[in-house]
Amino acid sequence: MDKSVKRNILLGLFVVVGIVLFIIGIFLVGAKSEMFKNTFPLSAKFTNATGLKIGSNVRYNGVKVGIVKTVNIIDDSTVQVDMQIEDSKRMFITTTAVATIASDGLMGDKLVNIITGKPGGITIRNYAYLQTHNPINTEQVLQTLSGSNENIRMITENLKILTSDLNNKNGALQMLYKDTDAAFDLKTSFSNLRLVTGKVAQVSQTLQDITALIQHGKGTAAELLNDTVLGHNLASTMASLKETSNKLNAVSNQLSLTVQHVNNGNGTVNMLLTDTTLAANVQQSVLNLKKASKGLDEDMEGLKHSFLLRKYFRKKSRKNK
Amino acid sequence: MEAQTNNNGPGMDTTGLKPVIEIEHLKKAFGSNVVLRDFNLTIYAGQNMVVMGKSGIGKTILIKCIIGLIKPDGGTLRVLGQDISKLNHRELDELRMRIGFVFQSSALYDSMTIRENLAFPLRRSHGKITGTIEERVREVLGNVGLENTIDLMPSELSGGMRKRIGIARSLMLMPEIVLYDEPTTGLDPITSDEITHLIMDLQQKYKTTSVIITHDVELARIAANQIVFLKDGIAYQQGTYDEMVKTSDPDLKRFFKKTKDTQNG
Amino acid sequence: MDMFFQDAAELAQFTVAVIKEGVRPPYEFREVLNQCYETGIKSFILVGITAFILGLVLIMQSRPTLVEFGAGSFLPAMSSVSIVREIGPLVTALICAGKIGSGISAELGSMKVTEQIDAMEVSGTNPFKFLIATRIMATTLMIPVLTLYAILIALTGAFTAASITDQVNIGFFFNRVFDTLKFSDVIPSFTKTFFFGFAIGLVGCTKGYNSKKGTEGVGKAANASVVIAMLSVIVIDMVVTRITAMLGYL
Repeated sequence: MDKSVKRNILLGLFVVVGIVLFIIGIFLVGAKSEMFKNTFPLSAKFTNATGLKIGSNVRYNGVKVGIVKTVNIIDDSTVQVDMQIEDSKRMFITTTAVATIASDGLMGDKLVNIITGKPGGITIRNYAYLQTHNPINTEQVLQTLSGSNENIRMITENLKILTSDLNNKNGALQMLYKDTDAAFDLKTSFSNLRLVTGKVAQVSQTLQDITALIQHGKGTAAELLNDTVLGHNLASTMASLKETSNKLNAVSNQLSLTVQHVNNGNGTVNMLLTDTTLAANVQQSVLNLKKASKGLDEDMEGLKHSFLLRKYFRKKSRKNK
Repeated sequence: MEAQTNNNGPGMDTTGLKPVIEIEHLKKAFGSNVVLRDFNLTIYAGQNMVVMGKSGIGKTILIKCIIGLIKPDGGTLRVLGQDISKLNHRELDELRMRIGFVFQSSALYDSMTIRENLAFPLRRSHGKITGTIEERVREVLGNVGLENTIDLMPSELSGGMRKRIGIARSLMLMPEIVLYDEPTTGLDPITSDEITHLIMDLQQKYKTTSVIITHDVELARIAANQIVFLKDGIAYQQGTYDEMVKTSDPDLKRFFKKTKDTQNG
Repeated sequence: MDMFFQDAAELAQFTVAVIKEGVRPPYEFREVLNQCYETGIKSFILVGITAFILGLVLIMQSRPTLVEFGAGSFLPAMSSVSIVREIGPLVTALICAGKIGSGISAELGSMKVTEQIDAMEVSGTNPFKFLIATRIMATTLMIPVLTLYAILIALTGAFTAASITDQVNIGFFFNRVFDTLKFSDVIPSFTKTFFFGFAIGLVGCTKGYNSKKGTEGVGKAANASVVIAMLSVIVIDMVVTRITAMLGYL
C-alpha cells in the first residue's frame, strides 16, 4: 500500500503542476488578449478591412490598448469593426481620434491603429464610432488617368485633321481661306491640351503622394505597404507620367507659339510667308503629342499589370463587354 | 459392467443432496465445429466431479459455460438454482462470487503482487468476508503453504507455486463450487501429486463442490467420486473411478490405460 | 481494404461498449489513477527529452532562413506558434501512440492469451470497466497533461537554442512567445489532445482485447495498434485543424 500511496502522490504532483502551468500560460495569453482586464466597446467603419481578424491588436499611437472583437460587413462599402479597449486607456481616446488599418511589422498581422485627432475632442463613450481614414482610393486615381488619356487622344485627332489640311498642296490658300476657323480650332486644341496637362500633373502628384507615404511607411495605403515591388512600380509609373506631362507641356507651348503666329494681326501674310515652317511645326507637334499619348498608354498598361490594380481592370473590361 | 449414462452414479449416495449444477441438453458450436451436442449432467452438493476426455473435446468450453464466460447455443444450465442464461450482469456477478475458478494457466494478474492478486476478488464483495482483507489473504496463503510469497510478483514464482496461488485466489470468497481447469497439466508428477492433495484437503476443509477437468488419471483416481467422460459432445459415460477403469468400452479403456502408463512411466 | 473496414468496425463497436460501460457505476477510480501513473508519469521522460530536442532543433533549423530574410526577431514568435499549435500536441501524441498504445495492446493481448481477462470476469469484475474504460480514461486525461509539459519543455529547448546563438534574454523570449499566442492558438490545440488521448487508448485497447491467441497474435496486435493509433492521431489533427479553420480561429 506504501508504494501505491507514493505513486498517487507523484501522480497528483504531476497533474497539479501541469494544471498550474496551464493556468499560468492561460493567464499570460489572456493578459495579452485582454481577457482579464476591464474593457469598453468601441467601433469603427471602414470601406475595407483586409487582414483584420477577431483578436487583431488595436493600438493607440503604436501602443497596444485592445483587440478586435468582431468584423462585420454592414453594406457593400462598409465594414464595421468592433473593438474592446482597455478602460484605463479611455482617457486618451477622444471623439476626434482617427482609426486606420495598419500593419504590424514586416510580416505581421493587420491591426487597427488609433491616431490622436485634432485637439478639442472629448473623451469617447461606449459603443461610439471612431472616425476613420481610408486608404487612398486607387480606382479614382485610375479613372482620372483614363479620362486624361482619352482627352489627349481626342486632341490628337483634331490636330491630325488640321495638319492634313495644312499639308494639303494648296496649303497656303486653304489656310487663308480657313484662317479664322483654323485659329479657333488650334485655340481650342491648345486649351484642351492645357487641361489635360493639368490633369496629368494632378495624377502625377497623387501618385507622388502615395509613393511618399510608402517611403515614410505611414501606412494609409494599407495594401501598398508590404509590397516593395509594387511601390517601385508605382514610383516608376509616376516618373514616366511626369515625363509625359513635361512633354505635353512642351508641345502645348509650341502650339501656343504657333497659334500666336496665326493670331497675329498679319496672320494671313505671315501665314503665307511661314506656311511650310508652320506646317512642319504643327506636324512636329502632332508627332510629339502622339508620342506622349503613346507613353501615357504604356503607363496605363503598366498600371494594368501591377497586381494590385489587375482586379479593377478586369472588372472594368468585363463591364465593357 | 453396464456403462451408465445416468446422472445418479454409484460411489456416493446422492439421495437427500441438493443438486448444485444441472446441465440439460447443452449445445455449443463454433462455426461448423460442434463441441457440445447434447450434454446432460447433474452435480450434487459436496461431490467431486471429474470431467475427462481427450484434449480439444470441449471440457474447458463446458466449465466456461457453467460460469457464464461462454454463452451456450442451446439447452438449460442451472447453477445453484439459477438459470445462467436468464441472469443480468449484476446477478451473474453475484452468482460468480459463489463459484471459484482455477484457470489452466493460473491466470494470475502479471501487474499485481500476490497480495493484490488474492485481494482482487474481494474488491466487489462487501461484508462477505469476516476480518480484514489482509487477514483473509494471509489465511488463504497459509492454506496453500505459500505465506512468504505475499509481496512477490507472479513472474517470480514457479509453475507449481502459481497453480497454488491460482487455487488460493479461487478460494478467497469461500465459494460453494470450485471449478478446476486442468489443475495438474504441465506440472511434474511430484508437484501434480501435491496439487492433487491440496485440492482434496481444501475440499474437505471448505466443504465445496468441485468440478475438475483433467486428463490426469491419477488425479481422477484420488479426487473423483464421480467421473464423466466427455466424447462427441455428450456425457459419454459416467461412473466412479473403479467403474471407469473396468469398463469394456474401447475408447475409455485406451484412455485410462494410456494415461496411466504415461503417468507411471 | 478488408482489414481497414474490419478495424473500423472493431473500433466502432469498442467505442460504443466503452462509453456504455464507462458511464455506468461502479467506477474504478483507483485503477484509473493507477493507469494514469502508468501512462502519464512513465512517458514523461521520453516525451520531455523529445520535446526539448525538437524545440532546440526547430530554432537551429529555422534561424538561418529567418535571419536571411532579416526576420531573426521572429524566432520566438514562430517557435511559440509552431510548438503550441502543432509540434507539441502532435509529437506528444505520436510518441504516446508508440509507447502507450503498444504497451496497452501488448498487455491486454497477453492478459487475454493467459486467461487473465477471463479470471477478472469470473471475479465479478467487468473487464471492460476495469481494464479498458480505465485505460482509455487515463490516456484521455494524461495526454493533455503530457502535452502541456511537452510544449513548455519544447519552448525551453527553443530558448536554449536561441540563447546559444543570439544571447536572448529569457524574459524577452517568453514575453515574445506569449505575446504572439492567442486563445485561438491555445484552445483548439489543447482540445485536440483529448481526442488524441482517447484515440490512442481506444486503439490500444481494441487491438489488445481482440488479439488472436498466442504470442504472435500479441505482437501483431501491438504493431497494428501503433500503426492505427498514429494514423488516427494524424487524421484527427487534420480534422481538428479544418474545424478550427471553419470556426474562424486560423
